[in-house]
Amino acid sequence: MNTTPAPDDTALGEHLRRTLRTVAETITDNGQAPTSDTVVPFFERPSRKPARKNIAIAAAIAVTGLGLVAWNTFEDGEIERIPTEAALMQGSTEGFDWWLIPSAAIGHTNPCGVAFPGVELVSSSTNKPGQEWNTGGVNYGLNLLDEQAPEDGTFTYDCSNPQSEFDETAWSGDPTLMNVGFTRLGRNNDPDSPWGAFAAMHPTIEQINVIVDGNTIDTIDTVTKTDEPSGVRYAGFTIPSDACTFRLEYLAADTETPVLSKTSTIC
Amino acid sequence: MTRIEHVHRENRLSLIRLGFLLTGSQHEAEDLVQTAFAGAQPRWSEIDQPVAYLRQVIVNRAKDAQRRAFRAPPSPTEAITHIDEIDETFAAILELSEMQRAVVVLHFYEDLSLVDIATILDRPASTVRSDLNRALTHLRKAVS
Repeated sequence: MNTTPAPDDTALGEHLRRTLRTVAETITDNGQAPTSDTVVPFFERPSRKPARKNIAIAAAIAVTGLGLVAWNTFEDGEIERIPTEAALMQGSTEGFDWWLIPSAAIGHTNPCGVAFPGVELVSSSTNKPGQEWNTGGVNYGLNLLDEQAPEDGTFTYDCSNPQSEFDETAWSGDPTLMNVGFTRLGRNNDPDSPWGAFAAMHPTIEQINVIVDGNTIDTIDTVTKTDEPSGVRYAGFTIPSDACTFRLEYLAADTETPVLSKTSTIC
Repeated sequence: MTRIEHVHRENRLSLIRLGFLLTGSQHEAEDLVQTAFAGAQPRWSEIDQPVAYLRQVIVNRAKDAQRRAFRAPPSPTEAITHIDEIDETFAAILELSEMQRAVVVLHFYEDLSLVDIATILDRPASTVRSDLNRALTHLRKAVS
């Protein structure tokens, strides 16, 4: 890449350098820095308002009505690092590295402080140190809040007895129930970015086919969380940037025929 | 391994200055630097290039903070240097979008190449070059 400014920009560049240097030098230290290497500071975060959690239902397909079964989250929590050691699946697509990570390992909780039971797809491109989390996630099970949700969708969390709002066992008798979501691996408004997609499904679903435009583009072996080897199964996969829909065939362990074929529209 | 207190002592001021150029606020700049060190401290031993890491955190948090606040670009009402052409140019820099401002500050103050800036901002280098060109167009008009 040519980083040399055009000739007519040279004078402007020099002026900008002088401006920025002169302005910067007006800032002096107020004396908070330690004076010796023997001083071990403890870097407390500046006081700030309580973390704001803004979970928006987006790009989600839910088999139940109102609950936060799949979501994209933009959270006011600084990313210190992506806990890749907790990843259940990982991949790299068109230069985008991504991981499927339990929400608990990321630290995402409901308003009562209970970790979401599901998983989130984390792209390195949109989750840099210092940024806010920008992930897509999915949970599994009956959302207990649906039982109390009024028609306007306003949920009430009772934190006197903090618990997860997802009852996974309620879906144990029906392998056709699942949740699917997706998010861009790159910037959310970048039409050239491939999609990262994720699904949560019944413990008997060990494999899924990913179908785009009638062609099976991937077959995914589903995974469980490491501490729940017989529990809910999850899958992460990618969809081309220009795809408008994708279809999943969920293959149960005890049958060769799909238990469900589910089409998701993403464009 | 460079100790965190050494990096803090040697770089705190320069990082605050970077934060100030990005935000136009010394208070906010000091918060950004303190937050960056606080976030880095628990895993300091894992960070290969602490100063580069801290700089990236500060740049990205400065951008995020301004998006969160939904506020107008910072615009100091008081003269900073009392040199008219300097103060007017800095005011014009603060009028840029947070992304264009970050590119200008990183390129002309930190002397980083556009490729290095692209890495910090996680944008294609070609996009960074477009950001810079648009910023220079605005600044050229502002200072002419």
